[in-house]
Amino acid sequence: MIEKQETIMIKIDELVAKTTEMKNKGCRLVQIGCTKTGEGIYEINYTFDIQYNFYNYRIIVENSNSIPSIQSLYSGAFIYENEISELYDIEVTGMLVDFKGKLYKVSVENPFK
Amino acid sequence: MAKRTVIPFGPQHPVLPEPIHLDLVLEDEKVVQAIPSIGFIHRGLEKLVEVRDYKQYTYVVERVCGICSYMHGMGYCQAIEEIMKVDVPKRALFIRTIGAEFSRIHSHLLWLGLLADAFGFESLFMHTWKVREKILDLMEEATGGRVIFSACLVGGVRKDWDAELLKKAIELLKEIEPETKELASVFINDVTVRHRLVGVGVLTKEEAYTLGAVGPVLRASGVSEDMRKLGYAAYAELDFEPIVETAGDSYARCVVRINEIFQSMDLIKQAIAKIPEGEVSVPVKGNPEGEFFSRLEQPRGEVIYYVKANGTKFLDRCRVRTPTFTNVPPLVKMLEGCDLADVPVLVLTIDPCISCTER
Repeated sequence: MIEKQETIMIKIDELVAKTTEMKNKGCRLVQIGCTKTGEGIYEINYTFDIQYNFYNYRIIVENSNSIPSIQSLYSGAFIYENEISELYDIEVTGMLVDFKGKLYKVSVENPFK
Repeated sequence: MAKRTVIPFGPQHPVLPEPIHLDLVLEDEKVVQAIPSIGFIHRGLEKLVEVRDYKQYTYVVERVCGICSYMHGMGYCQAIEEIMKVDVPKRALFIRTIGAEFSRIHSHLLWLGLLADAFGFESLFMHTWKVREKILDLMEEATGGRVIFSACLVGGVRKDWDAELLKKAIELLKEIEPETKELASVFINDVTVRHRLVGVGVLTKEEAYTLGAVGPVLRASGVSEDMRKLGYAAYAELDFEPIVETAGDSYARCVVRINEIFQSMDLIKQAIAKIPEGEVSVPVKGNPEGEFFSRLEQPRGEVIYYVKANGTKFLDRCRVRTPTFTNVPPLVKMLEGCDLADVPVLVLTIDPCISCTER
């Protein structure tokens, strides 16, 4: 096995606290990725790394839910949050950098629901 | 207060090999804000996972990018192999390492050529690409392809590198090492080159870290992080340390890539010296079930292959987080406060691969 990987399920309202914990630990934000798992149901992975140690937190989002932005902790998160907001139509609240649907100029119909 | 102007930069621009768009907000000649937009060449390759089985999909991921296609195939195969607990033959892991490092060399040489072209040093551009061609010739001999290699498959590699080919690889390195050193001395020492790069687009260590920079962009800002240290393929058996610079400017990013070319040459020599005999692939039966985040160090930095499999031959999800995508926030930061004339060079210093980013 290349590396040990564990995914920890958290609730949406725990996201900012967990991200703060990661930030205080000195972790790097590796990626945020969204996957559709059912009709109107999405899972979002928040992946962190410190000295090649892998941490992954997962939240489940339903269409009606919004998720909080983590840009105040990791400013680079704007690229992921705008992507999720535009391509999956998930509301991200409190985004410091919000392209308001203009990051992606895709010729096909989106959000990809 | 100076008058503000917005200049659209891209998606078509002489310095851009691929399309990205930036709205540059200027005060006189200074950029005060850069607003990116992407998606012009979105091809929906991730969506194809629904209609191509997990073995066929290896050939789809290679088409994510024409420069690091070798490592796209490798990253995806690694993810499937981890999920299915496939014991890949050691020789195949060494061959993957050799192929990946040759890819890194030709990618960095491509970038150096583009950089030279961006600041108007045409002859340097041509000499750099002349060296790169020799690597593509070897890759063609080894895999049959110059851009899309179809080299990696789930369970190993498609073709062996025999003793004669490995000898040719060593001879090629002997030939291109002095040529590359000569080119490197121009990039490192030439006054005009230094003038265009030193102190331009500084990204501090803290900024690089919080903005999510990866690869040479991250290491040029003083962060020693290189995913090859995870020990995938044969890297655990090779001796190397990440190449790090501390200035965080365009020159530092250039120096990191130049030194990585020589590091790759060394890694190839080490791998050829240690490559064991044996099979280069094992048959893989059944379907994957589970998930894995495969992390690799591509020439542009860390790439993530997130694969989620459901036990059928079709995957639930294959998400590719490319290095250029995560290097966009650092680019936006670097552009703030720069001169308009430096924008093309700064965009190039993240070594943007929009084809990767759009998928």
